Amino acid sequence: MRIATLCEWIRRLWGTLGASRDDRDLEEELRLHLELATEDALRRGQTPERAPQAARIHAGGVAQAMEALRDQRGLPWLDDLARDVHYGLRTLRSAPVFTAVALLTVALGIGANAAIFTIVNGVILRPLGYLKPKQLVYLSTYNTLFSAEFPVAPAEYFEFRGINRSFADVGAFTTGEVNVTAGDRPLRVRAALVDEHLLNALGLQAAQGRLFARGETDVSGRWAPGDEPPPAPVAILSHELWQTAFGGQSIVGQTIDVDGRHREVIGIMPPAADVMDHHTQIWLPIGLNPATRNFRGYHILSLVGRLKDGVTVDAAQTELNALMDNWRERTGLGPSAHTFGRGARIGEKTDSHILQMKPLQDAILGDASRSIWVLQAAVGLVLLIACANLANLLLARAETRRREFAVRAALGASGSRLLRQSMTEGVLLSIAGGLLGLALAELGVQALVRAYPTSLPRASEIAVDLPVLLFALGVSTGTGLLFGLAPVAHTRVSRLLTALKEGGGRGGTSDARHHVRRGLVIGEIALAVILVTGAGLMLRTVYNLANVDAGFDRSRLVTFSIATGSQKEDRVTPGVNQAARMRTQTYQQILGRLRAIPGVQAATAMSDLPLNQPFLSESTRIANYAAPPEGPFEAIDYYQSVMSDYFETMGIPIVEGRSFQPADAVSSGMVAVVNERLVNTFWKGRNPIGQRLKPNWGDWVPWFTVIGVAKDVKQGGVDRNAGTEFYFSIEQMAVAPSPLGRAPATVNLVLRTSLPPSALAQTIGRTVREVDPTVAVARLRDMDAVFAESIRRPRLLTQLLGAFAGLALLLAAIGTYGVLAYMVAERRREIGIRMALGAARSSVIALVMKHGLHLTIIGLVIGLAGAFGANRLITTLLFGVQPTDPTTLAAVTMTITLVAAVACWLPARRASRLDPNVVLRTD
Amino acid sequence: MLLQTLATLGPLHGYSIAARLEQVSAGALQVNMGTLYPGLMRLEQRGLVRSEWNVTDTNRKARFYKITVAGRRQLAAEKAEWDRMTAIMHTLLHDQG
Repeated sequence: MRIATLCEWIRRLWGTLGASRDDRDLEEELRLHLELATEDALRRGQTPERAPQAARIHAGGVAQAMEALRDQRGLPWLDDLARDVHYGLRTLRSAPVFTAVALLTVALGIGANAAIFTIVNGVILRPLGYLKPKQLVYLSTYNTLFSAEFPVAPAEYFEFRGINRSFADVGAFTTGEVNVTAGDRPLRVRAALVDEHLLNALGLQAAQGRLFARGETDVSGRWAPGDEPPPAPVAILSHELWQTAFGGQSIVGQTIDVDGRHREVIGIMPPAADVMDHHTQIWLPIGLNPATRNFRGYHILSLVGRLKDGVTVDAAQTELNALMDNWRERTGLGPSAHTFGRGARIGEKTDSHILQMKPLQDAILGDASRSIWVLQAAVGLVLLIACANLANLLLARAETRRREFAVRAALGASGSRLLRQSMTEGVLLSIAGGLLGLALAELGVQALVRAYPTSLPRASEIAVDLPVLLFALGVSTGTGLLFGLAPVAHTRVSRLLTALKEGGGRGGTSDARHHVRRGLVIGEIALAVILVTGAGLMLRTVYNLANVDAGFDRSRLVTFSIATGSQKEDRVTPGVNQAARMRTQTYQQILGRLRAIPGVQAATAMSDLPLNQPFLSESTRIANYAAPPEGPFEAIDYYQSVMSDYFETMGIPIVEGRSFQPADAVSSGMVAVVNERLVNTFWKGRNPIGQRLKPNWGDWVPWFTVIGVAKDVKQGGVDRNAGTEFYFSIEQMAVAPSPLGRAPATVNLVLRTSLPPSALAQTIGRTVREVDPTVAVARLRDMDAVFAESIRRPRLLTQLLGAFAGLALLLAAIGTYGVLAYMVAERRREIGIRMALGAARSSVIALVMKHGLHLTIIGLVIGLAGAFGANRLITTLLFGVQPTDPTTLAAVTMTITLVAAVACWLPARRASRLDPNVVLRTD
Repeated sequence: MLLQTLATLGPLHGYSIAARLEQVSAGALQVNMGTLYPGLMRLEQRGLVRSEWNVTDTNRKARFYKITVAGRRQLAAEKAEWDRMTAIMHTLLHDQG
């Protein structure tokens, strides 16, 4: 057993420290001393009978001398500790039920804490796995008018590279998905499209081969959005993709098929190399083109910079702000106002967006850290409740052990010595419980990460490691000291002597002790109220989120995603985007075959699924609208490209005009569908049909004419308000003359069908392969799963918070029960007399219940007050419910009262079953 | 005191140290076992004395304590310090007025 080895270890240490002399040796020496003293006494004329006594008086007692010698020989505290541990173990073994309950309480409390701390440590505290990670910052543009963050336009990136001084290097990347053909099957893999500066800024080194060379990630030539010339045909594989898809065989220098195009594998990344927690599987050149300078509204790039040695984030931000002030002069854009980014077309006022930076780690965590800290606080409260419970348990035991302590005090044990004994027992319990808890935490965290792989940032880095072990050890020891201290603080040594005299231990117990026990229970209930309220609010939040009307009929929808690659055709026909036409044909063929499947009523495709759209706020010219100075400005929140049948398949009602028709593809005038919100924002009171608008991509963009108005859809997620929406027809855009002609490289297909995704998987896979064997089907699921995925984080938070609140409730109930049960045991005599004098069972029950509910009500009031304060912290995590939501508070009050009533009723019933005859006779 | 005794008389066992101290102090110092032996043990732990079992003149087995070189050094230092202190005290108490 582990504890036994601990004992042995302590003894050995004590032996080595205390030299090699054992007790026999010491006694021998003392005996000789006494003998010699006796002889001397005889010599001085004492009688042989009196001499030994005289010698002992003269030389002192052997026992005291031995005690002093032993103290001198070893480290007394260590010696005592060993004995305390030994004694503590024996005591705990002799009370197995107490020990089991206490151990379980500690294990749950510490296990929950260690589990959440593992997440805190892995996600928030541990530095990122890059070289000097503190130097890395994430750069984005921040639009002060929309209070929103956007990616950076390539033009701005080029300009910033030219004028920056704080950074050793700044790199750009975008993320996407591509099809990689390994063997006979295409795989859908996550790609990071990067330039060589990004790899340099991150400090990544190839594990095999090389990374991108200077200039290899750039392209030049004619450029238009959606119609980029292809960059160099090279690729770098992640270690993980190399292992899983290519079996870890030598592959550097060979070509692989990416989106139907051959690319040479030039290198392999080291394990776990990644950017922004994207779980990158393949690294491709981004293909930035200096020609993009003219497209200032094309915000697509994420930037990561590495600060020069010795430059702080603050200093860099200051320099950045200075650059913002005269950006145009510095970058040669001309001495206009200090506009950064998109030209001044939509007015200086709408254009106040700035380049901002934050530490890369903060950027990766996003808003997850608040949820995680809330959980840590919650488990902290659970541990406090567990401590209070244990203190109560130990207190109750201390009552029964008063005699034992009194005897030991009478035999010469000092007060501090008894205190140490009690603390040792506490720490023993908590360390054993802590080990158990650590095992629970390990299991729990593993299960959690497996169940929610995408709900937490940096999930792959979550593991029980040294800081977690130290945390668990520290918490265990602290816990043990805390609840070990409580009983002794109320068992004063002076009182112990009284206990000894009282003999039976049935004497009156002090009021002070009762107050402490009641106080602990009230505290437990109050903490439980706070936790249950938090969990209740989160529960309402998730309920609200799950029942939001997203604007379309989500039942019986199956969806999957395909990527057709960005460079299907290298052949460029002047004035025609051949790739876009090819892609659209592929989509149409796949959709045509899908519609023919029995059980499929309708099918369509779109660029992004609703709920997952990034908030764009695209600068858009809107005819017949002049933006007032305070807004709303000429910008549209969501651009959505859809195939015909989109509105019909998704079940989005068209409130005015019509939806897209196949005939639109061949009509020369560009057409658009917008949503109600857009109409209400820009054309209030006018007939929207026939109104015109156009994206602000350049002077060459033609006007789009509104042909229909659709109901609002929650494109950005169920927790966001519906924004303004601009629908493009994929079919019409694909055949439009260059540079307008384009088609999304990745689309989401949606089928209206009564069949489940699993039944369709094979058919869909075969259909897509028949049309294009290089295209992989990804994320096949039903729309309910898309909804669940979009609210995964609040759901996870709710489930964990709910579990912790349940635990808190259980512990508080046990605590209440324990105190009342103890009270009943203590007042048996009184209750017995009452009953003998004719008190009814019901009045005995009422007596005990009244006592317990009194405590509950005080705890409730304190807890609700605390919840008022504490829940303000989670306001930002709530949706559709206020922290002071009366329904939730009422439900919490009911729950707590109900649980407390059960906890009170059990001891009350036992009290009412007492037989006065038995009680009075035994006393 | 213990060190001085050992330094003067050479190796001694515990009882004779106590007897010697009592004799030298003319009975003013009565050292009991609870003080004497832990003291000796501390000195030994500090490396100032060494001890071993041996036979007395009366043919009894006894643990004999012997001062070490470090012990003599320590004794000299302590004595000097004591002398300094007593000199100061003497000056303060007698020569001041």
